Amino acid sequence: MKLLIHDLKNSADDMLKTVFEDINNQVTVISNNNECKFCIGCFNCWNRSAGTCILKDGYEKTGSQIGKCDELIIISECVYGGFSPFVKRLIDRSISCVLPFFEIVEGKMRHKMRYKNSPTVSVYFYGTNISESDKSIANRLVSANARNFHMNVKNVDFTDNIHGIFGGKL
Amino acid sequence: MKIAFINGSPRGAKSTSKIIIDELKSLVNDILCMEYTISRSWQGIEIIEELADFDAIIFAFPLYVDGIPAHLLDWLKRVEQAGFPSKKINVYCVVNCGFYEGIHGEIALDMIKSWSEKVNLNWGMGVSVGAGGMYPMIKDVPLGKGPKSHIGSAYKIFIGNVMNMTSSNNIYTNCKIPRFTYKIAAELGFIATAKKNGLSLKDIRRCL
Repeated sequence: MKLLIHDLKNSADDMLKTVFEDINNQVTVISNNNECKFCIGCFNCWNRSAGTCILKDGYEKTGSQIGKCDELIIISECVYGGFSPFVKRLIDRSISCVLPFFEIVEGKMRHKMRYKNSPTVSVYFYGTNISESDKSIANRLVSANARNFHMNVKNVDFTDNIHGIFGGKL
Repeated sequence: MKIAFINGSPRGAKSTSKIIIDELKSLVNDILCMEYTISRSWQGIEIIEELADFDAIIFAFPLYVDGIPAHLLDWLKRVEQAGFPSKKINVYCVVNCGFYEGIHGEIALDMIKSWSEKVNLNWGMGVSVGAGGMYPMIKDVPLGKGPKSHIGSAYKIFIGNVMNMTSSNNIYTNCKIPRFTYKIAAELGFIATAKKNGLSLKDIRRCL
């Protein structure tokens, strides 16, 4: 299963499905319906409702969806070298995809995986005149997120024309 | 000199970021300091005009998945869109991380630097503090002593740059405790809370 998270208008959901769907993989799309709450930093996703976010707004299972997918695809405006506020809300609420236990890998701590699964992650950043500095931050951020969520980076692409990047299908 | 502290933790007054802000304020005697909190329920940009009156802005927030918490990120974006009054203010930042190693906060500090440049403010420097999960437990330990010996040294350099309105390289540090001890204590803490909530070890590990 492919999981697609994007911050474009949710009217793009169906078209994005057709872009990324193939005979072996269906696509689940998560987009902004203006109901997504901010993370409150309670850690209940680890020590109370283990595996899901305690805030019930339709986005509470994003962590398990990330943990179980075969490929995570993110389409996001590049904001200061990172994800857009909506995408970051989802990422913040998704730490339940890993466990509240730690391991040391290459000299640094990370959380142990919950799902015995390592999806690939593809990120498409868009924005006007994304600086080389912001691209550097973005590449490092995706690598760090992939490391901490036990994913493998497939690609990190940048464009100033998100509508053109998928062959004009958007 | 006037310094504005911006607490970007969703926990506001009950956060590690608040403890850090209080510690930094204790190092700047006789300086006018004001505190603002960008919480998930309040993200007004009306304070921009007030912030323009300060010489330095110091952000303090927890590292969220290698980056800036989404509610603070949302505020930063809206401030950029609204525009910051033209005045050369220095921006500084302290990030606290749940992971042991302070280097995990490097990306978040670079993002704050990127924001500073986009709103035409000067980037000063940042400090990233690892093993932040134990900070509330050692809040009464004086800076520079015991588990805060590294942090005390880092804050001294940091505040020196703030007071002189200078820039320097970021500092990556952590609470002074063996990593093994921190790891075990943190995990036992999560398990203890989970058990109080009626979860077994098997429940904690469950897959949906």
